[in-house]
Amino acid sequence: MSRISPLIDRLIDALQVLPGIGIKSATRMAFHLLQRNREGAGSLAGAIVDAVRNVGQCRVCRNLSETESCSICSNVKRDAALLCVVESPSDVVAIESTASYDGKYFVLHGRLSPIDGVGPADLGLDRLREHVVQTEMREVILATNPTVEGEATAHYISEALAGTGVSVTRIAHGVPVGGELEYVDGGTITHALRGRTSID
Amino acid sequence: MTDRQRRQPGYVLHRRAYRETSYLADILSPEFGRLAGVFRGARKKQGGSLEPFIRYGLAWHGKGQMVTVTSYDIEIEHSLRDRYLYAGLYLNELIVRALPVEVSAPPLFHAYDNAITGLARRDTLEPVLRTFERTLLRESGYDLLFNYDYTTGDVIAPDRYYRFVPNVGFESIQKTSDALSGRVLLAIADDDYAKTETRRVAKHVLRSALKPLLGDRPLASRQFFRGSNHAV
Ligand SMILES: [Zn+2]
Repeated sequence: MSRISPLIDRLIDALQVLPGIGIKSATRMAFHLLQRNREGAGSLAGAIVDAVRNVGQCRVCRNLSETESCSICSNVKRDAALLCVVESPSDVVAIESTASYDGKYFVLHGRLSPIDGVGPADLGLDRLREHVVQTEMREVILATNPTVEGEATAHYISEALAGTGVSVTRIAHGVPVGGELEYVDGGTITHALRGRTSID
Repeated sequence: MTDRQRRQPGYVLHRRAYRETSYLADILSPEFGRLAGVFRGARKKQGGSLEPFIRYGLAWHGKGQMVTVTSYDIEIEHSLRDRYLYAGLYLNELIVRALPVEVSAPPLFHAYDNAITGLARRDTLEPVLRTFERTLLRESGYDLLFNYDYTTGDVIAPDRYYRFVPNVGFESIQKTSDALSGRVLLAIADDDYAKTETRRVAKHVLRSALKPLLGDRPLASRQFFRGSNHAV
């Protein structure tokens, strides 16, 4: 059913893939792009196409990357025996912005959540264990969110890493329960990393 | 259609991001059973985290498929750790999978409240889970009687042997290697799981009794227990 015109309708529908964007905001955006900023619209379209085509996952840490091994994994100056496990790429950005961590990462792209059907295999946990064993990791910091699912995930990983000899730690509870790393200020993240405690 | 405010205690079984700043949560309440509630603005509220295993005093508007929660005050915050946390997630998955929405279930709410309290207290795991599973079966409309022979209506005899017939109950049989002892069935009927044998039989029978309610898809939370020697 046509609302405005087939092409504009298609653009409005497409814009609604963005989180929190309903039909009203999408319509406003579509008109803005077409009326006031056609050049910007063209470059946005190009950037989306390029990113979708070329950004995949880092072979080592599963972070978003356009190279086989991401810039953090390839950086020889970073401590390769220290690994921080996070739920999402935005958590990496949040921790990196504090400049208080110089180890590497492993990105789960989620958390254990039975009702959503997310189990251990969906989070690459087999690969995590393999990676920890192969690189002779010294310490794994579990920086999953302090939510019920984040805690369950941290516990599952600590069990899965038992017997590998690696020291497993959990970030401190400066981060409020239910809070998500990406919404927490840098000082709190630095504090949570420094105050990490060992899991036995 | 009335739109008066309702007040009930409630637990959040599961929640997901909804629109820009809200949560859509699966709630368990006594009088209204399972219902879907929108918590407007809850994601940006400082310290207003919405988590499972917290008993909230809830107030909401609306009725039917989706209600709008207007306030949620913490009544009791249970802290579940390690395999007790897995067990809590298992209970939540069970309810979401087995209990139809909007079925009033005060006994189930009460049983859940007890179970979560037991898990936070680190009680022996299996009795907590089995007691809850039995209530869930009953409240989902399938009352499995552990103390009657369904073919005769006779009370189960401690010295006789039985077999479990899915969807129906227990019937008397000759003693075989996998026959269930009457004594064990009577213990389960009393939720007395002190003996290892009772726990083993209860786990096995309840698992197959729950199966028709859960469908073909396996429970994701059972995978958590694989490595930990504490299978539920
Ligand atoms: Zn990488």
